[in-house]
Amino acid sequence: MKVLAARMAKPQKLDITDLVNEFYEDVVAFCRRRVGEDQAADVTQETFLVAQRSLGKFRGQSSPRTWLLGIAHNLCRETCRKLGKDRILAAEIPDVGTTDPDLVDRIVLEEAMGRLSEDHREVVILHELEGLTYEEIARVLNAPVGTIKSRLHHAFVHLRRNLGVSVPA
Amino acid sequence: MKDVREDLTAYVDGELNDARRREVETAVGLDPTLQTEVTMLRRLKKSINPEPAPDLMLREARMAYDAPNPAKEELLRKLQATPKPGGFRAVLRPYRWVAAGAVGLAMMATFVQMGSRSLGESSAKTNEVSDRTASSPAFAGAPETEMAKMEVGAPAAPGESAQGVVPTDADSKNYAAEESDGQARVAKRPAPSSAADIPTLRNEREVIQSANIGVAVPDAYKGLNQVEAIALSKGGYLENKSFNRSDGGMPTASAILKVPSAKYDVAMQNLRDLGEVREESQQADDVTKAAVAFRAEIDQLKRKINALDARLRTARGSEAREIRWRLTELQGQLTSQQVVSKRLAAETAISTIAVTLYEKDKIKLDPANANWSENVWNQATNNFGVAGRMLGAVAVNILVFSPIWLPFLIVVWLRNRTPKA
Repeated sequence: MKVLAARMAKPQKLDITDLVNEFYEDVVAFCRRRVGEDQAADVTQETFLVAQRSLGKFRGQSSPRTWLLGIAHNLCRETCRKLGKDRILAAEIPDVGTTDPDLVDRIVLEEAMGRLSEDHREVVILHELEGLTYEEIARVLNAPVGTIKSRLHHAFVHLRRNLGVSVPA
Repeated sequence: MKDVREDLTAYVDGELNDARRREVETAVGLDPTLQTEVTMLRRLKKSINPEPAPDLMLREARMAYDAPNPAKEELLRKLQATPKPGGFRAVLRPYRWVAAGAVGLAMMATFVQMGSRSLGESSAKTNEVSDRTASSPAFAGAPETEMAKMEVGAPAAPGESAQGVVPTDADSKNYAAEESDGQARVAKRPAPSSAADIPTLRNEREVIQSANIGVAVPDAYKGLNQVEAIALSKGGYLENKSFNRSDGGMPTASAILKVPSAKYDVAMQNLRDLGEVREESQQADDVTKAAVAFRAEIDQLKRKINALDARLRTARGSEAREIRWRLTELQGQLTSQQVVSKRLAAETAISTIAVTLYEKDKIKLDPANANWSENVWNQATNNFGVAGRMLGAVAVNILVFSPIWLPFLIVVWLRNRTPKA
C-alpha cells in the first residue's frame, strides 16, 4: 500500500526522451571523466537504457539528474571492473579563457587534484565540476551525507597542501 | 575552533543548517585566520570551476544548439525502438509479491479443499468396506464375478485352515517371530487378564475394540493367507473371509479377524506391513462403567442370596416357603446378570478387525506383454487428469476471489496508465 500511495502521490511520470534531451550531455561528461572518451558513449547509452527499464522504480526522492548519475556511476564502476582497469576520474578543469589573476593556474590545479586520493578526487569532481549538492553526492555514492561532508573537508585540506599552501592543523 | 575549521568547506558551500552557519559565521568574523582560510577556499573553488567569459558562454551555447549529436540521436532511436516497459507486466512488477501471495493462498485453499474432500472419500470408502464385509452375501452376488468365497467357522484352532486358503509355514513363522517383539507393544494395550501387572489407567478400562483397514498388496490371494497367518499367530481366528476376482477389475479379498485384545496392536501393525495402507479406521467403546455396574449388581445379588440362605436354615412354615420363592427369583436374576457380564468380558477380550485387500495394479515392463504400454498410458493420462483438475481448481479459486483482487488491480492499472501524448 505504501508503494501504491507513493505512485498515487506522484504527479507525473518521467519520459525517457525528455531525460535524454535534458541530461545527455551531463551523463556523457560524467562518464567521460570516469571511463574515458572511448567508453563514455557506450556507458551513457547503457545508462539511459537501464533508466528506461527502471522508470517504474523511480520514486522521485531525488532529482532525475541525480538518479541518472547514480545509474551511470554504477555502470562506470562495472565497466572498469570488466575492463580490469582503475577508474580514471580525470580532474580536467575547463578552460574558459579567463585571465583572472586571483585564480590558481589551471595546469597546477589539475596536477594537485590528480594527487588526491580517489575518494577525495571523486567528491571534489562531483561537487565542484558536476555541481551536485552534498545530499545528491550521498545518493549517487550511496553514502551518508556526513561522510561526504567530511571527505570534502579533507579533500580541500589535501588540495591546499598539494598546492603548497600551509594549512593550520 | 577545530570544529569550526572542519565545517569551513561546508560553510563556503552553503551546506550548513542555520544554527551551525551562524556559529561558524561568528567564529569567522572574530578570527582573521579563519577569514583567510575562507577566502582561500573560495578562490580555490572558483579556480576549479571558473565562470566562463561571456563571449565564450554564448559561443558554446550556439554550438550546443547547432551541432547535431549522432550518438544522442542514435540513443533516442534505440530507446524508441525498445518496447516501453509499460503494460500489465510493468504495472504488476511492484506488486509481484502480493500477486504471488494471492496465488499461493488460492493454491493452499485448493489443496485444503481437495485434501478434505479426499479425506471424506477415504472415510466413505472405509464405511463401504465395513458394510461390504458385514454383508458378504451381497458382495458374493455381484454380477460378472467369479467368487471364491470361503466361510470359515469360528474359531479355528491354530494350524487349522479354511478350505482353499492355507497359510504357509513361512507366514506363520514370520508372524510368530514378531510375537516376542510385539509383546512389548501389546503390553500398553488393555490386558484384562494381567491388568494388575501393568499399573496404567488404560489397563483398568474395559474397551471393546474394532477396526477397518484396507491394504493394497501385490497379490490379494496370497495376502489373504498372510492375514490368516497373522490371526493364528496372535491366538485369534478368521470369522469370515472372501476372495473376489471380477472381469477386467483388480482382485480384492476381505476378511474379519478376531484377535485377543492384548494382541490387537501387533495384529494391526502386521496388517499395515502387508502393503500400502489405503484406509484405516479404528473404533473403541469404553464399557468399563457398564461392566462395573454388572459386577456390583452380581455381588449384591450374591450377598442377598447368602443372607436368605442363612435365614432359611432357621425359618419354618410359610416364612420358609416365602424365602425359597424369593431365593429362586434372586438366583434367576443372578444368572441373567452373570451371562451379560460374561458376554461383555468376552467382547472386551476379543477385538474385531475387518480387512480388505486390494491387489495393486502391476505395470509389467516386459515387452512381450502387450499391456504394459496401455498401463503406462493409462497411468499417464490419469496423472494428466489429476494435474488438470488441480490447475482447474486453482483457476476457479482465483476467479472466486476476483472481487477482492480485481478492483485493486484495476485501480493500480488506471493509476499507472501512461497518458497519451
